[in-house]
Amino acid sequence: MLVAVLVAFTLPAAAAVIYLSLRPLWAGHGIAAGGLERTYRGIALRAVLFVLALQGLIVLNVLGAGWLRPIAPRAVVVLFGLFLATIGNALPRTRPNLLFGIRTGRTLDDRQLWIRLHRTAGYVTVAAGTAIAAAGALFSKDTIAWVVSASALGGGAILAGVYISSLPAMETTPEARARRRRNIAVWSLRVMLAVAFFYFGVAKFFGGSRRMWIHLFDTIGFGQWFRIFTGFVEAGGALLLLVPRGVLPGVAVLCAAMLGALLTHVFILGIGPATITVVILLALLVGVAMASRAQQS
Amino acid sequence: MKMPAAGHAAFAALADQTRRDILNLLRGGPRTSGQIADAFRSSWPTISRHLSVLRHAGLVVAERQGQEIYYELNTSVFQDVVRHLMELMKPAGRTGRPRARRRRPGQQEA
Repeated sequence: MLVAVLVAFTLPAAAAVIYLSLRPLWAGHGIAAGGLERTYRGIALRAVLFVLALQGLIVLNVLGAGWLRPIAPRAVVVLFGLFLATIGNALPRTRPNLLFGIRTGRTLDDRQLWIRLHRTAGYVTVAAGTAIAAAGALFSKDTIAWVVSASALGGGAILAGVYISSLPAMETTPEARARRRRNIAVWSLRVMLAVAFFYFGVAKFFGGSRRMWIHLFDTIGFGQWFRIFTGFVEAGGALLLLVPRGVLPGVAVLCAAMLGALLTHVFILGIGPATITVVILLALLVGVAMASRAQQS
Repeated sequence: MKMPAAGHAAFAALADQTRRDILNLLRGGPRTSGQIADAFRSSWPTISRHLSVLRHAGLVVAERQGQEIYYELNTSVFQDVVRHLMELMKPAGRTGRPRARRRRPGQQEA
């Protein structure tokens, strides 16, 4: 019982320590001056209320409130959704500060970008919070998991899109803007290719759905070690694509793997729909390599 | 923490076409009161009074940059939703932008 009570009070203790240690950050530097102080206080208050509500649930559980047990998981999801929604509601009112928000070098420098980005972030967060709270109150566990992951991925993608699309506008000359746009296009392609190849590579380790890769490498006939080797080459090449200077080695490694795949398709497996994927990936790799060469020169 | 009067002031401030149009204009970025007045046909004192109502309701904040005072949009997501609903529900019959045609007597105490 004593342990249970101690465990029950670690959450508010941790929250209080965090709150008290962060407070001087915005109190001491006049960062939130001029009416914005209320926004930050409001956000802190909501965080405190959220922790208190969670604490209430935990304490009731420790005290053995039987009626609570079946609905407690749902209550936590609903509380979290409402917490997100109220935080999101206040996001458009934040301004560059030391503590809170999407703080990158650019948003801290450019007040207008901060304001625009956090308005969008507010909409996204309110929508996600409302969806999570509604799913928590009404739907099954699987649906809740789906809604939470979809909100996180979708919201992250929207914010990344808004942020990245704002980058060219920051440049002062048309040439710089064009260079920035091309840079963003090349990097998006690199990330997409890296995700695809990493997925294909890791899938080869595990055999793929319905042991597809295992059968395929049986047909090729070099043995299953070749499947593992190809998986390493593809996953490693994918990681290289994400390193600033790794693009040419990465493209070289992945091109070799794709040429090998093309040859096995032509001579062993027969040409099929998968061959088209290989050719498209090969073309995208060559495109990335050429665009990166053009950038460096 | 939050005074009920503040919430009420926000609704009252949103219940006016010109003020909603000002908020819509500020979505494009901070503006000085002169730039805002230029976008409307109303006189500068009228716009200035509207801005003061908006500022007291906390829907905009005034930010001094050198000589100029810039007005920044400071609405919460909820207030944006209310503004959109008011736009949807406003009396039919006036299509387009009424602000461009009508001189508005300053009937609001600031």
